[in-house]
Amino acid sequence: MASYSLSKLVNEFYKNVMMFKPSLCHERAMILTESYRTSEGLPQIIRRAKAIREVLEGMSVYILKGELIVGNQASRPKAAPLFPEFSISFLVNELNEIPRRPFDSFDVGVEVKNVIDKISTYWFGKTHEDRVTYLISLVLPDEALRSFNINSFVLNDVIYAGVRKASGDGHIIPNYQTLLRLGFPGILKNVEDEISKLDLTDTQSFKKALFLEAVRIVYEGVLSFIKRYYVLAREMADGDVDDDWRDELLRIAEVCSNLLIGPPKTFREALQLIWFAHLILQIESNGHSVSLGRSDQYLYPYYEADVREGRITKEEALELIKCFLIKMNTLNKVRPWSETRYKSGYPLFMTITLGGQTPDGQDATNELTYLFLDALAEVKLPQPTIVLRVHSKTPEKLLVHAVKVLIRHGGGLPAFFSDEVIIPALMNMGITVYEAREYAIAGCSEAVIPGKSLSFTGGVCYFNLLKLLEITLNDGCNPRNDLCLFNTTREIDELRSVDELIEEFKNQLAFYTKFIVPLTSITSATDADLNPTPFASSLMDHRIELGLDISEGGGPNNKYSHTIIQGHGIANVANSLYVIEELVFREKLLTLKEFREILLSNWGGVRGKELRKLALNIPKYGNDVDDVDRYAKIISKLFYDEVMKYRPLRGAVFGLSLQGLTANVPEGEATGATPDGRLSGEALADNVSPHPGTDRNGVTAILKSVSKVDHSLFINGNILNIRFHPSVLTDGFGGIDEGKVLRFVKMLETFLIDLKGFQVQFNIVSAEVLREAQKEPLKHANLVVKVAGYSAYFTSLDRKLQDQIILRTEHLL
Amino acid sequence: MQIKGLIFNIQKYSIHDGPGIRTLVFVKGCPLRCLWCCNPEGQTPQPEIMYYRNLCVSCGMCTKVCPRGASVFRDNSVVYNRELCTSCGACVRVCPTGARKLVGKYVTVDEVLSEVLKDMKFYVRSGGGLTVGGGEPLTQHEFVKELLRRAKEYAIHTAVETSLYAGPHIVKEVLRHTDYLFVDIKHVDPTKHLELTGVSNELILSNIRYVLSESLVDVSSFVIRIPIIPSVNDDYGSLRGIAEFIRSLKHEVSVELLPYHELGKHKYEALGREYALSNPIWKVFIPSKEYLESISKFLTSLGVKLVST
Ligand code: SF4
Ligand code: SF4
Repeated sequence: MASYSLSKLVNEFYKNVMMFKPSLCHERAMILTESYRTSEGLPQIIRRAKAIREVLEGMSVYILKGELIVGNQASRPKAAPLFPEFSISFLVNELNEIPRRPFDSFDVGVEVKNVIDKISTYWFGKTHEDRVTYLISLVLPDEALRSFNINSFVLNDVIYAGVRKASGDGHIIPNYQTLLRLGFPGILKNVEDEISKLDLTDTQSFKKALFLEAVRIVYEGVLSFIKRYYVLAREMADGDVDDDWRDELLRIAEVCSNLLIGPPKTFREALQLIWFAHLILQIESNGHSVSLGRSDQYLYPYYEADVREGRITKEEALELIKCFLIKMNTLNKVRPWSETRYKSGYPLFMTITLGGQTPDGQDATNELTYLFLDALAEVKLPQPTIVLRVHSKTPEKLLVHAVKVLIRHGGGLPAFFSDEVIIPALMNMGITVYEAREYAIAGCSEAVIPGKSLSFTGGVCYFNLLKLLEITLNDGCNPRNDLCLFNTTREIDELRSVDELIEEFKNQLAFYTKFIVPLTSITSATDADLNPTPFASSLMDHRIELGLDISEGGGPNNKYSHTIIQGHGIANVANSLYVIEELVFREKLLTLKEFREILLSNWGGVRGKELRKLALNIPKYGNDVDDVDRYAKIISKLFYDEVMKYRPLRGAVFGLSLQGLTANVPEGEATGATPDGRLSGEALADNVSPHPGTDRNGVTAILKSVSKVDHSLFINGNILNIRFHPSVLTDGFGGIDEGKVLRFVKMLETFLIDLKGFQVQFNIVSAEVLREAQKEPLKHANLVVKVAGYSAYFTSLDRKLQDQIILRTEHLL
Repeated sequence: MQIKGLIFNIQKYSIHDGPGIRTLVFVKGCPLRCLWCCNPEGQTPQPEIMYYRNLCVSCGMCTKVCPRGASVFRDNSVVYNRELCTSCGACVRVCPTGARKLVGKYVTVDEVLSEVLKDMKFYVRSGGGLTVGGGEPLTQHEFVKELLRRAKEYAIHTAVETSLYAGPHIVKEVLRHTDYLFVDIKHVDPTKHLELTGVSNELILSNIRYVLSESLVDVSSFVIRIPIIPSVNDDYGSLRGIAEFIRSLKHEVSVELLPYHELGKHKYEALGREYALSNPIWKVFIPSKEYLESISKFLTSLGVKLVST
C-alpha cells in the first residue's frame, strides 16, 4: 500500500468525522427493547446476551470514506447509543432539554423521540436506576434519606453517588495480549471447551453453564457483526469508487475475513481486532473508562514482524494509528444532566498507556511508543487520553519527544505518570513486582493490571472534603438544609487548636464514610442482577475458567481490584485549616465561632471583607510552605485510614483517589464560604492542584507541595494540572526551544522520580487564547484542553469550568 | 548578627540564567541606568512602592492608613506623592486590588538560602543551581558573597549576572564562590556607554580582561551577553566594536544576544518614572527573527562565538 494515498485517505476520513455533531441514536434502544420483550422469564444473563447479539446483528453498519479501520458504535459518528436498561427516566425527562444544554448537548432526531415514546412504558420500574433507588431507600436511615437528593444522588452535599446512576460499570482494561493471540474464534473455542468440561458434581456448574452460554451467544453476534463489515466492504468495492479507495476496501474485507477465522497476523489486523473489541465493549454497556492498556507493547510484535517482512512501512503504520485514534472520537455517551455537570466535555475516559517497564524491569520503549506519540501530535483530538509512564530508566530522548508532542498537540496530551510511585503502591496491594510493572492507566488516573483488575467502580463515591469541613465548623449541621446528621462531640467554641478541629473533622469523616458501603454495594449488586457483561468478561483473565461474569467479582481478580472512592477539595481544606491556625489560634484575631458567622454571611460587612483579604494573603498549598502543606498530608491520610476500614461488596478493596473530574464546579456550588478566602459557591481547587491563582512561587513550588501528599496511598490516582504559557517551551518566535524542552524534561523527572509525584499534566496555552475562544467559540472549535484526567474541546465545556481553567495560574518566565 | 541584603524577588524554575533549572535571586540596587532596563524596580538601593494606577479603584483605603500623608484624596481620586513616602508598606497591606506593591525586602542569608535549598532536587536532576542577578549583585557584595559561599557549602552550582561595574577586589571576592558568570557588554565606546547607561565602561572592560587573565571563573563558564537594542546600540559600527573587543581577549568566550523587549515598560509608570526609550528620537523597535539572524550572521562573520544558554 502506498502511504501517500493512505495519508490522503486518512485525512479525508478525519474531515468526514469532523462534519458530524454529537447526536443520539435510537437503534440500540429499539433493538434491545424488542429483544427484552421477547425474552421475559429467561435468566437475566441470557436475556442480556441475546439482546446484545441482536443489536450487533441489527444495528446499521457503515464505512466512511477514508477509514482504514472499520466498525461503528451507532448510526452516525459521534452519535451516542441509548441504554434504557440503565435509566429510562432521564431520557424521558430530559429529552427536550438535551439539544439545548449549555454544554454537552446532543441533537435529538424524531426517531429517537418516537422510540423513547414506544419503549418507556416497558422500562419504567425495571431499570438499574429504579433498582438502585429502591434499595437505597430501604437501607438509608430516615435522617440520611432526607438529606439524599434522589435526582442527583448526593448525600447531604457530601457524598456524590450518581456516577453509576444511569450507567454501566466500565473501568476495565481487557487482556488484549490474549485476545490478539487467540482472536475471537479462539476465545469462542475456549468457551466451548469449558462447556464440554463442566463438572456435574459442582453445585455451581449450572451457573457456569449459564455464563458460558451467554458468552457464546454474544460471540455469535460479534462474528456476525464483523462479517457484516466484510460484506459491506466487498459491496462498496464493487460500486463506483476510485482505485485507491477500492484497494483499501478490499483490504478491509480481507482483514475482516481473516479475523472471522483466526487470530490476527499483521499489524493492521491486530489494530482492527482491538478496535472491534473496544467498540463492542461500548455497545454492550455504557460504562466509561474502558481503556486500551499498553498498546505500544502488545502491538509491537505485529509491527516488528510486518516491518521485517516488508509488509508495512513506518509511515503506513503511522497512518493506521492515526485512523485508530480518530475512530476513538466517533464514540459518544449521553449522561443525565446531573452527572454531566461532574464531567463535562463528552469524555469517555479511554486511555492508552505508553512506555514504562517490561515485567523484568527493563525500559519498555519501542518504535511504536514514538509512533503513537507522533500520531497523537498529528491528529490533535481530545480522545483517547494518551499517557506516558515514566521511570528512572526512561530514555531522555523519549521524554524530549513527548514534551514536543505536548507542544504540538496543544491539548494537554500526553500526561505523565510515575512508575516509581505506582509500582510500589500496587505491590502494597499484594501484587507481584512482575505483574505490577505491567500496569496501565484506566480512565483518568486509575492504575490497574490489564486483564486482571476489575476496577469495580460498582458505585463510585465522591467525597466533598471541603463540605465536610464546613459541616464540622457548623457543629455537624449542613447550613444549606439545616440537617444535622451527626453532631460534633464538642461545640466549636470549645476547640482549642487546629488539632482538636481535625479531631472533629475526623469524627464527621468517620460517620459519612460508613455510607460508602451501602452506596457502592447496591450498585455492584444491581450490576450482577440486571446487567452482567459477558462480552467484557470474556476479555478478562480467569473469567471463562471461573464461569463467572465480572459483575459478580470474586476469583483471582480480587487481588488486583479496587473500587474507586474519590476525595475532593484537598487544597481548600489544607488552606482553610492553615488560615484558622493563623487567624484564630496564633494571632487570635477572632474566635472560631465568629469566623463561622463571617463565613455564613459569605464574608459580609466591612469586617468580613477585611478578614477575607487577610485570609487570602496567608500562604496557600502550592507554594512549598511546609506549615500549610502538612495539612494536605494529614487530611489525605485521614481519608485513607477511614475508607480503608471497609471493604466493598465484591471482595477486593476500596481504592482511593484525589482526582476530581469536573466535580469541583458543582461541589463548589454546594459549599458555602470557607476559611481559605473562598466565596460561597465558588468552585473548589481541581484534583490535587493548588487553588487557582494561589500558587505564586513558581512551578517547582507546586510540585514540591503536591509531593508532600503520600501518593502511594492513592492507587486510583491523583491528578495535577498545571497551565503554562507557550513561551515556557518556545523561543521568542514560537519555535521549539531545545534548551527549555530539556529543562522541562528534568522538571518532570524530578517530580515523578525524585519527589514521587503520581501524575502531572500540562496545558500549554495562554490565557489570551482561551479568552478569545470564549468570545469566538466557532473560530476556536478545535481548541483542545486538558480538563481533569481527560481532554476536551475547550468551547464544549461548562462556562464556569472554562473560567476556572483560565484562572489556573499561568506559569511563564 | 547576620548580614542582611536587600532583594526584590526570588524566582524558581529560572531557565534563562545558567545551566539547568535555577533559582534566581534578584538583588536590589544598581549603579547603571540602562535606558532599556526591564527591571527598573531593581535599580534604587532602597525598598520602594510600585503603584499601578490601572488597578486602583480609588477606594481610599491607602489614604486612611498612610502615616505620612503620601497617599491622599484629591478630587475623588488618590494622589500618591513619592517624595513623602517612606515605603512603610502600610498601604500595600490594605489595598484590596493589589494596586500597591512594595518592592525590596531586607533578608538574611539564611532566609534566602532556605528558599534556595527547597529546589535542591531540581538542581541535582538538571545540573542547575543558584543565580544571583538583579539589579547589580556587586552593589551588595558582602551579602552576595556570603550567600554564594553558603550555597557552595551545599554543593549548589552558583552563577552571577553582573555588569562588573565594581572595583576589581570586589569582583575577585565574589567570584571566589561563583561557578558561572554572565557579563553584559552594552557598548564599547565609553562616551556612548555613558549616554546609554549612565556610566562609562572602562571599569567594566578592564574587569572582563582581569577575570579572564586571572581565571577567576573558567572560560567555559563565562558568557558575555550583548543586549540588542535596535537603532540604539546595534549599528554595525557598534557591533563591530564589541566584536573586536571580544576577539582581543586572550580566550575564546561564548557570547549570547539578548533581544530587546518591552515587558518591563509598564513598570516605569508604576514607579513614577519615564521610560526613556518611549521618546521617538530613539526609534527603537522589537527585533524580528530575521533581524536577529542577520545580526548573528554579522557577528559570527567577525569571529564571535554565539551561543544560546
Ligand atoms: S508606603 Fe507607607 S508612606 Fe508610602 S504611601 Fe504607603 S502608607 Fe504611605
Ligand atoms: S487602597 Fe489601592 S485601590 Fe484603594 S485607593 Fe489606594 S491604591 Fe487605589
